[in-house]
Amino acid sequence: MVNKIKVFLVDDHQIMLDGIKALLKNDKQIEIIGEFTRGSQVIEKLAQISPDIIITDIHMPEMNGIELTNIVRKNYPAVKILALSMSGEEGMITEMVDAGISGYVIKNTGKEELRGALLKIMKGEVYFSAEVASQLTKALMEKKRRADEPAAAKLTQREVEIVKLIAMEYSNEKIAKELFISERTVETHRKNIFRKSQTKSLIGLMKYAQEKKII
Amino acid sequence: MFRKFCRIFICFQVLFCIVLAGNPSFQLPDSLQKQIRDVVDTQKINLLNNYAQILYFKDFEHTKNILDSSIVWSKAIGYNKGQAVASKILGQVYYLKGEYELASKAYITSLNLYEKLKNKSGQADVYNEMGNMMRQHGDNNTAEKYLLKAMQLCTEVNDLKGLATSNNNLGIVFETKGVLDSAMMHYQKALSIYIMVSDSTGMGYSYDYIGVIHAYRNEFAQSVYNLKRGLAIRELLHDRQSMAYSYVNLGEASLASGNTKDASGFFQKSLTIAQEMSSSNLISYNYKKLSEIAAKENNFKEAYTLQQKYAVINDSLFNLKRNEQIAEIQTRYETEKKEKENVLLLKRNNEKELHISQQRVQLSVLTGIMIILVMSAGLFYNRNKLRQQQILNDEIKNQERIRLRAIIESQEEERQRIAAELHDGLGQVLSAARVNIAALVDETQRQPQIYQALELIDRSCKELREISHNMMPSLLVNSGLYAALIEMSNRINSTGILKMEVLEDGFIERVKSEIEINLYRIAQELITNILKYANATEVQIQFILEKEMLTMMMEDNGQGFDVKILQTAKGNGWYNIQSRIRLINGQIEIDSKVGNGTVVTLNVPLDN
Repeated sequence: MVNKIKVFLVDDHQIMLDGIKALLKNDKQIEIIGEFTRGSQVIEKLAQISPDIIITDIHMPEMNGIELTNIVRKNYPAVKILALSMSGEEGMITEMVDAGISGYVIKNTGKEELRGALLKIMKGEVYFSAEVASQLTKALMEKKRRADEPAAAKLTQREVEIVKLIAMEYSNEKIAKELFISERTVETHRKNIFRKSQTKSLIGLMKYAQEKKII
Repeated sequence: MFRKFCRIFICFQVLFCIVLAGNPSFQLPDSLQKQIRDVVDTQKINLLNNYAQILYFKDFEHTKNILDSSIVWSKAIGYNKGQAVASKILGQVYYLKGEYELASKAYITSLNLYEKLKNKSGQADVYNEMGNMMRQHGDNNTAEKYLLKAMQLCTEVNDLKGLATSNNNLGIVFETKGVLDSAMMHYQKALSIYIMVSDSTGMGYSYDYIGVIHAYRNEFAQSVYNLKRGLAIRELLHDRQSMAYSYVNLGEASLASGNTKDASGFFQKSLTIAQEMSSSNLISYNYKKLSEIAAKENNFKEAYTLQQKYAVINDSLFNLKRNEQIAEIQTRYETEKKEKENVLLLKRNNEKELHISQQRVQLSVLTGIMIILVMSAGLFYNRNKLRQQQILNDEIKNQERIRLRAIIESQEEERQRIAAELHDGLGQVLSAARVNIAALVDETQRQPQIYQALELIDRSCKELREISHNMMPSLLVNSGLYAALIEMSNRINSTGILKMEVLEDGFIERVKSEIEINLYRIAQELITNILKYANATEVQIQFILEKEMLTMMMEDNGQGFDVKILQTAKGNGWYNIQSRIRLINGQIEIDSKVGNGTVVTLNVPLDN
């Protein structure tokens, strides 16, 4: 056993640090070489020694996990980051991924998962807890869905109905009566329609409606 | 001294009669009826009726008992006039209680009896009452019909006071309808009659009415002239309360004619009297007017001080209303309002014998003037919506917003603090506990209790995250409204009950956190309502940003509802939405009909 994986632990709660240490103690492949309650302490220490992986919490006072990751990735690109957080909120995960983490584990983890994650990352792979992975996939799919339908073109069903009535030369009043809504609501819909179709005049809108085969 | 003596005497006699009539089982055996004939005579019934006439706006139940007795006795001895009078007063009692159907029945009984007696004055009296009731009820046409009938009857028998009353009542009907010429004609007729019969109280009244009509017609010099004549008469009568209202009308007329200096003097005088009488409404009204005048004269410091005073009184009035006895006060107020109108007619009956004319006149003048005051205040206010007033109004609105902001902001701050503390404090400790326990796991052994403990902690963590999220979604603070709504839609959609869509085009940038948080909370409230009541399958939120105006539009395809129910909605939800809207200076429009989905449109200016 020559090269143990050298790890820094960062969490603003000492009891958490103790817990992770307990989880990884006597491990033949992993060695904790530093523990910190503040991100700034990590930056200072990095000037002296360099770990393979930093396990860091995200919610921390002064410098949070995202900021810490950004700094480390920029100045010490060889050092990998594993996020260890309580929550798997989508926004939080994507921000961490953007900052350049190699893995994300939820704190309700056990010895096996944590070890596995560290070993994988060490091999240059990535590891995400099942819950985190599903959030990430969802975000990706949502992103793709939006890319597929160009925003400007999407009229709602109600708006399409209104375009059709406008084409039939209905006044706002008549449209309101036809659809059982108020004239002011029709007016708001109209604004929405013109903005989305990027047209300014009725003629422009009719051309757009024909192109999109609405009428 | 004499007056006092009489009153005691009357009370004594009335008491005697009540004792007699005390048992309300009115099926009297024949043998008793004869006895009653000896004991009860018309004079006693008259006394009962007179007593009821004095009492009827103070104590409904008691009056009703007296009148019931009076009617039974009258029937027993065949005294039709007594029954007619009692029935009419009974009608007034029911009218005051808002039981219009019973009131009509009583009036008609009385009317039939008077007809039988060929007593036209009596009939006119009842028609006057019925006319007033119909006007109060909002049916001006029927009111007009009854009052014309009253007038005709009075003319036939040359009942001058009755004629004057009918004319005044008709004048009020026309004034309500906005037919000022006819109103004026009737008031002037009433005035000429009062002059003829030298009825000073009536004259004071008429001058006041006429002055107000002149003011409506922008004939300010004539208005002030007439109002001042009315005032002079009231001064002679030492009727302080009516004087206060004369001053208010004079102030209004002067203000409308642009003479702020005089107006200010008049309101000042009214205020002095109002303070003497501790009439909060009148004090508050005068402060308000004086403040408006000060604002008009660009004396904003003074305007502000007066506005403060007005606010203090208004506040205390408001608190009074919020009191548990709100219902009681409300009834009392309404009764007084109506009774003051009816008291007009009281005057004619046995005025001198009972020596209460002074009190009645005060009340009746008060009523008439209250009506005129409310109407003229509305009219003049609209006519004089000047820039300075606008500034003052803005200031009032602003103060309200500051108060709201303090409440809502501290609420949101508190939520954020609790959310953060839960998430970063308790949550971290729980996680640490979990990791520590997880470290105890030894794969070589069976340790069911450790796994159970781990599962319990996991469940706690999950619940804690949910609570913290509901308190304040960190995404809203960190990434903004659009991201938070997308996240909300993900949560909603995962339930499979409702498909929520947030259309991103139009607005994805960050705006002031106050606007973001409040719009988010409103969206949250609306979605909750949709889930609870709308039975919808789809909901869409979209935004428009145009000329610094942000519009958030939420449409659902649910069963819709009658928007009128919002006026009486008692829940916190709607109240919270309105408070938040006001706080961000926005407007909300709810477009919904039963069976046709709901569209909620919110407009919020971004520039302040």
